[in-house]
Amino acid sequence: MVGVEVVGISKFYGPTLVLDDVTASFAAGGFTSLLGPSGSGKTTLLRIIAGFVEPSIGRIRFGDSDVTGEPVWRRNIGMVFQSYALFPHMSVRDNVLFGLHRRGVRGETARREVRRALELVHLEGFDHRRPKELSGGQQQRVALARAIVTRPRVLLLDEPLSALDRRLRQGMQIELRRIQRDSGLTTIFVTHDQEEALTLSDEIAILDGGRIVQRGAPTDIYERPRNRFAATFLGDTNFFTGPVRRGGIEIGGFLICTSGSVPTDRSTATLAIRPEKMRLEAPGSLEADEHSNRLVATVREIVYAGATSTLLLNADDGTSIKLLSQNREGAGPGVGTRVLLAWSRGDTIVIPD
Amino acid sequence: MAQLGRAWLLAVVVFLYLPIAVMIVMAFNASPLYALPIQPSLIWFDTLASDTELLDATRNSLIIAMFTAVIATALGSLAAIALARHAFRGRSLLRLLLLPPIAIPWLITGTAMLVFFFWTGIGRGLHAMLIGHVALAIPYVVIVIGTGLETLRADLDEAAMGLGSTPLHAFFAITLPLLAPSIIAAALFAFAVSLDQFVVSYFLAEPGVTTLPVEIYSSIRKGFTPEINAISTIFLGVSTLLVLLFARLSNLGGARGRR
Amino acid sequence: MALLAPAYLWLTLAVFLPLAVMLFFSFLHAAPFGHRPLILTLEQYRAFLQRPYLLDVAWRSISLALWTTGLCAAIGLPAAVALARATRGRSRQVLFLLIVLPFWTNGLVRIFSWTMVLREGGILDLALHAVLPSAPHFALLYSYPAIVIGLTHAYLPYMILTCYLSVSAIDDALIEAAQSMGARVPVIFAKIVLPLSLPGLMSGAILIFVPVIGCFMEPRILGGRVGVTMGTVIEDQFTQAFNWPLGAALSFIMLAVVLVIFGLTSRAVTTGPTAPLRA
Repeated sequence: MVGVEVVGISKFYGPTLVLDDVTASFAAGGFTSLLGPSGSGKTTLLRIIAGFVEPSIGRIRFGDSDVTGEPVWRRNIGMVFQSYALFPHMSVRDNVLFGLHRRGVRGETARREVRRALELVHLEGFDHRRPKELSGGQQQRVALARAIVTRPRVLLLDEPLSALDRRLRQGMQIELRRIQRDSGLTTIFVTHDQEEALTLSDEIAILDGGRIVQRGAPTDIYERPRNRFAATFLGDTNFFTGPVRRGGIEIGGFLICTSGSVPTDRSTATLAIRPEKMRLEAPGSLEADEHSNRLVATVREIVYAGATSTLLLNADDGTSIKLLSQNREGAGPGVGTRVLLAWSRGDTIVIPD
Repeated sequence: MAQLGRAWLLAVVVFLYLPIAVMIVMAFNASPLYALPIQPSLIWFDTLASDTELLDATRNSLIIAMFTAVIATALGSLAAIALARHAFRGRSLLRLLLLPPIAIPWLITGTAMLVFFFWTGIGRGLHAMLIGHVALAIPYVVIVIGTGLETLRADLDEAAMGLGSTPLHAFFAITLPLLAPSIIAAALFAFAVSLDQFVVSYFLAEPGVTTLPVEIYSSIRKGFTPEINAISTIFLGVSTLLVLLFARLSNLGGARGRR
Repeated sequence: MALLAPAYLWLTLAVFLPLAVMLFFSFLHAAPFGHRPLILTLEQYRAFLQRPYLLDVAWRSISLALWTTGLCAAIGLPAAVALARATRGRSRQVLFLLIVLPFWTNGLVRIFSWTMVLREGGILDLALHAVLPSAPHFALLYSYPAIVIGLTHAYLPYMILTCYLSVSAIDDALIEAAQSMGARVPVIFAKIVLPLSLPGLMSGAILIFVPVIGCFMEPRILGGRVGVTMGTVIEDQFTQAFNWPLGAALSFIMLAVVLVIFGLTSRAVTTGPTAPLRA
């Protein structure tokens, strides 16, 4: 298997720019997710890599070879569609054999490969069933088997799990990850579901408006979003915007700092903190602490979710704040209570405007 | 209220089938004057067997219908595929151009063909009727196959290409097999359109070279013979069979699968 | 697109060119055969306006079409409503098939079958005599009503089908809402069912009106000498009188009427009372 590289990919549909000068490389054997809202260009990028769509500008490389001009049927890819696209007039076995036959693999060798692929997806014995006799999850796995049996250079998946219900989805996510690791295929996975991306990927590329907004390992992207979009698209975020003072920003009489420095080239700055990183402290503990930020706020509403609770609070200047905490001890503060929020400076992120 | 409606519906069905029932009964009535009571007999079917004009006309009808089915389905399928895939400039116009053969009264189209064929030396006869029938059948073929194509998913082609099929191979391995029922249904339709066609055949027929409907018409104009009942009954039976076959294949009969 | 060429080439040869040539013929004094000079003239079209006989025939055709369409609507709409709302499941499927079946069978045969019923000594006559033995022989055949009956019978399935498609699309909830506000059947029919089945009625009307205007075999078979329509007059020009230019002109006048009808009704279908629902 090889790595994939896209260089300077732009795509116009008429006057509309759908992809704007996208350059990225996908490591060989790695699982990369293209994450973004609809219209972000992630599916277009995938289809360009596959060869269904030609880029207006730019080149695509599989390993050392430039495949930009090559038609899709010569690129030796494995593609799994959102709708599975199983051939309804063929059995499961014939579906999986299809790609092998195209590559000239026939007879006993081919049948062996099909058995191996079906075993990999836990569908042994389903050879002679027809697609319409299968459940959604089973069709999904046949589509996967069909895509990987030919040992493609790269495996491309276009939101393959979005048609499944929640429980099945979670099960399939684990399966997918196992299969990908076992086969070692370079995998590019398109999704709009951030949880899915965080669970499955070695690397995530967030797309917005045709551009890659941030790229990195799930923990990196989640803990260190580099801009507002990345911060809000992946998980929830609290934003604090205030005048720059003494190396931090001032919110409602409190000083909020990060472990690094705050940009001083303008008069206001925005800092962010994830809801789960905040904690409630007893109102009296106002000792100065170099490592923590503190803020007073009033509880506006409590959203109870069994294992966790989300508190919606208002700071004194009206800023809306969200706090997520596990329900470890009994009841927390009630609505209308003034509480003291605290969180680590190290977790505070600078958001460039 | 519903009772009233159902009664009306039944009355309508009776109205629709009454004359046909009478005709079928009379086909088996030995009396040449259609006198009652009915004397069951197959005599008129016998005389049919020796009526060479009628038999020739039937043979012509069947031959033309078969050729029409093959040619119209072939041409119409290609056109339907081209019109269905990618939207292109002028597609709506091309779709519109399929309407004249169906929308314009056949009297006008038939006489126009007569005029044109005569003037250009194509003349009348079986070949002329074939040209006319195919032209009339093509729009129906395009519609039937177009509908079939719409239910075909585009991602199947893409899946095939992703697995290494060239577009041509994908067409033969995926699209065609899935389109087969529609193609057969369209062929049956074209066959039926040609078999039933009267007006255009009438104008393009030559003395001695006619089709069954034209021959029936001449017989009626000459005077009633009970043979006409017999041949009409057979004709009706065949048409009905074709319709039922077609309905089976294309899952027609809107009520099927409806709420 | 090479795929399109064969079909459209065939259509050009068989339909478009012939129509164009016939249009050309309609402007000639006489058919251009046998070294006759080509004289371009409007006399054929003028003949239509100047000969009262032709205008009269044209009017007969239109009124025949109106009668047929009207009867089909009067009979067909209630039938369609009944089919859509008073039947269910298997019986609906069967009834639907029964209604649609005839219009796939040969029209000539169906017209002919009416002669068996309407002729002197036919079923109708015999039935009448069964009730009133001393009545004179009753033969509807070879009369104007016979033509209307035959045409209505032939085209009724079209109207039932189009109305059925419209009526079955009416959401049950609309009727129930009206009922909950106190409306009774006549009001529901007039204010909800009728307006919403207008598209069906209109499409049915077009499907019937257009062919009937051009019919000639039905008037001849069922009307005999009485059966004179635009269609039969045109047919005569081509098979008896051999006045092809006149026939051509009359054909195009008929075509013009057909196109006008299409133009008017397509606008009505898209801007009728349910236009916003269908937008």
